[in-house]
Amino acid sequence: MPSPKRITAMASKELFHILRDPRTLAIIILMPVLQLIIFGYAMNLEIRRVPLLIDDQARNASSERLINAFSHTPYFQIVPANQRRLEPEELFKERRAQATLCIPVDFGSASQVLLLKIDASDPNSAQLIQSYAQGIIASGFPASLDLRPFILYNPDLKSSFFFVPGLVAMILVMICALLTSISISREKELGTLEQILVSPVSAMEILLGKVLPYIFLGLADALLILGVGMLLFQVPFRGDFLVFLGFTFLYVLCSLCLGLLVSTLAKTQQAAMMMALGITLLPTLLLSGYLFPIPSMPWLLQKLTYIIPARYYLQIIRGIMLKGNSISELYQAGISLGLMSIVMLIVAVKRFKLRLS
Amino acid sequence: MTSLKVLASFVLKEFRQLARSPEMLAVLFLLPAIQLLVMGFAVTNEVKNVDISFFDYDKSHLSKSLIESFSSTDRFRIVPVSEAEHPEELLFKWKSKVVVVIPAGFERDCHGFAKPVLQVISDGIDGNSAALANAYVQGCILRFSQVMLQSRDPGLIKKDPGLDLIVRMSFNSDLKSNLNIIPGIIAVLVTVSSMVLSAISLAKEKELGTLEQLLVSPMHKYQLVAGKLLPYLIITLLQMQVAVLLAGIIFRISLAGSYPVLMLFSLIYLFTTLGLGIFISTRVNSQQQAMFFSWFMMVVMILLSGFFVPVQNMPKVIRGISFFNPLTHYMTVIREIVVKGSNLAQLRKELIILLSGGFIVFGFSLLSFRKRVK
Amino acid sequence: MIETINLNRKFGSFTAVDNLNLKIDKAEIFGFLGANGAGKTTTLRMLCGLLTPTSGTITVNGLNVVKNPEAVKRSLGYMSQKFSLYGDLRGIENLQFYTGIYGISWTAAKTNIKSLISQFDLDKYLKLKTSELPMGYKQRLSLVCALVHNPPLVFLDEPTSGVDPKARREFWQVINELAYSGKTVIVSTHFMDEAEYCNRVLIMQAGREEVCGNPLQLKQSHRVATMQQLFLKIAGADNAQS
Repeated sequence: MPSPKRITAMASKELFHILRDPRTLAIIILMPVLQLIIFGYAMNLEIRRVPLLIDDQARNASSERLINAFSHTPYFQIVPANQRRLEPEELFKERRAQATLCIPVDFGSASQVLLLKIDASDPNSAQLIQSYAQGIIASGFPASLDLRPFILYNPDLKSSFFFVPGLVAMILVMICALLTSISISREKELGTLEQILVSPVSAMEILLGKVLPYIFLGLADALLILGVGMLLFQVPFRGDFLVFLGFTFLYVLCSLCLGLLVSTLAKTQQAAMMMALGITLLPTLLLSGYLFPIPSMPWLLQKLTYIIPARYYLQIIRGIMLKGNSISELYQAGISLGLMSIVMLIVAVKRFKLRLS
Repeated sequence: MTSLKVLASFVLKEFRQLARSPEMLAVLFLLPAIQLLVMGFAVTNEVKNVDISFFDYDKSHLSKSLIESFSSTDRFRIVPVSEAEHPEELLFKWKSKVVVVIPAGFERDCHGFAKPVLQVISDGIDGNSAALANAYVQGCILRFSQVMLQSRDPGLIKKDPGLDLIVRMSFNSDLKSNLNIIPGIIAVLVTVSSMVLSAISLAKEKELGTLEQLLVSPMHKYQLVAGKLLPYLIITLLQMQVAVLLAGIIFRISLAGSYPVLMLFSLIYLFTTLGLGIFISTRVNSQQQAMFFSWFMMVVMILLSGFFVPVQNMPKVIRGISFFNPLTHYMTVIREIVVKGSNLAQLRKELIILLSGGFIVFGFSLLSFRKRVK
Repeated sequence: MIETINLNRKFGSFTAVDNLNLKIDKAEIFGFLGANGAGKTTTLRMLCGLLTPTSGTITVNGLNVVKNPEAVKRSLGYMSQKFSLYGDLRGIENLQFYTGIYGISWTAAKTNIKSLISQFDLDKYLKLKTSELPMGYKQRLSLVCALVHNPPLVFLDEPTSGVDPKARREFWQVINELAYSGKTVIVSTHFMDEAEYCNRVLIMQAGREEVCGNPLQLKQSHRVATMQQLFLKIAGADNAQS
């Protein structure tokens, strides 16, 4: 029977450790906020101000009109032609232009062929440049189809709509898995775990007492991000907050089990840090679908994402916040999280007990 | 000569410590390799296998061939739907990302005078990749309509000539995302290894009290710093060889430019990152703090470097900040050399910035280290 | 109070403790002597339930240590050679923490340790972070931490390493008083002068018992003047530590 008194003693000691190291605390709390702001304002795949060099050999009214069309969009910035008449590739290497458009001498009369050369070293931008240029050239010509796009849940395609939920998933795993695993291996390294183990405290009480402060810290930090995101970037919250809390608790549990598992595997703090980084943070960043869509990954990596808790939590949090999903749409993700927690907890407690003896 | 001997013995000690700890060796060589592999495959701005569903109320030849045109590319994965379902419900239940509704009478309208109407409903929560997916869908439909018009009424094109735009993609004609991402990952790895590891290793000597022991030895403080940093300089450059090799073997990315120029820039850049490593170690008391602190710097540096998103897309203030981020310039250099094969003259601006940055940061860190340990 | 029967502990193929049979009485100061690696710490760790024996049984107060770990742990205090204190916590916070994990109230603990704190001159140090304490005070504080729950049995694993002679003498005064008040004290050390303070000592070598008995009687029977000479005679000059 776990005694509340012993758990409180463990938890309040852990809380002291956290509070006595204000620099780490500040980084833990401020880093996600800073990330959020950078993501919200700086991470924009929409291209702007692409330096475009137009080689206008026609110099007539038609070519003038075309150049005008290009210079009146925010996407392109016309750079003056140089005297040396460098090859486009050389221009790209000098980084004076990212695209060149060649208007032939007989433009407007006989020939209607334009040549657009694009620096494709950044393929994503190159593709966007191509489609913008095509758009500009095609405008003014009647479309043969009436295409009616509707974008649901995020009609302006704002990136903050997926950064905010993603950051919440990151923070929870960072605090609940990374910090817990470090804090346990630190006691092992300092020898204080031994002192605790000669007392009648049970393994369950040690673990509970250790993780409680981190649960609160993690939840508080997550709510902070949520608040900042909703205030600064108008991210909506369309679903039920209680359902959200319930699923979040499940995810926190899963992250804690992961942290415990790491701590039983690592002998030193440094190893725990590196392992936690490799097992928790990087996969959450790269393989959860937070920044990079899972369907675009190669087959093996796609399969790997099934054992990453953040994958399921991202669906849950995005579903609740942006789509207004409720339990009936998300229970499968919830079950996956629950199963993973149980498996990891069993392995962790088994290994932890072995280490006691 | 003696000072060289002192330095050599110090460097030897560092390498011995590293070799004795298999965990650290794994961190130094295995982790970067895995990172390069996972990131090389996972980090991409390409959008593939987008789940798409069609509600075909026309059930005509034309509507079927429209649907058919989506199955030929790996950008889309067609999800079958049942009549009972509702388009928005599919998105709500995560079954599909894009739904195209083809109304009854689509084929008739195409042949007649009325403009056919197509509805495309997409899930916008993914922001950037949703935008790309949306553009692909529209592109696919427009292309289909052009082909359709051309085959049905060749005269129509002649009447309305339009413009013919020929597009040539330089340096990366297949638009491989890898070619842009992999050099970026190498730049990040170089930064992580040199900055984070040197900061942690100096903090460790501080924590264990061995730094004091070193300071009472007749060794000069500069020798101490040099002895501490030299191994990380060598290791980072070694790591870089491994990464470049892996990029060539696994991702088929060959270096377009000159190898010595790349090494020269890397060496210059390492002065900045190692300097930052020293600086961090002077401000922290424990390994854990060193790790959090350097990690924090890393995240900001990576985000503002243009690794994921070109710097020119960012707002003016952030572009200003990112000018002072050394990784921004190194990222440019490594991409230019690897992808385009730019030469030293074409990178003169970066050369000046990185040189002066390295000089300032390293000098400042040394001063701050001298002050702190006194 | 404590009894072991055929106690063995192996780490892989290495035998750390080899067939140890012990009987320790109540209110006794019992010392484990031996060179580094002789098996003292391993024995102590098994006695207080930190390590499970490979074979053999340990009973404390009639209770089997392996079968009733919690009941046994409640009755013992343990101080390790590392002085397991949290450097970023104040002295008083360390005490409160160890009180808490024994599940007793702080007021009860205070009456248990009040006299110790004043005797150890710890009052003014309790408000400082323990990382800032001088070595001698860290040692005293960690002993107090081991005694917050007033255990009848106290294990001290090389409690005086790294402490100056004056502080060592004062520390042994306290150990004597603990035994006088009825506690059983089990201590491991490699300071031979400290062995003289024990009621009984056990000299270990390579995991085995070499001799066991009252220091005075042992000296007489082996015809030596000090414990140091006795130890050197038994363990051989190579293993002398102090």
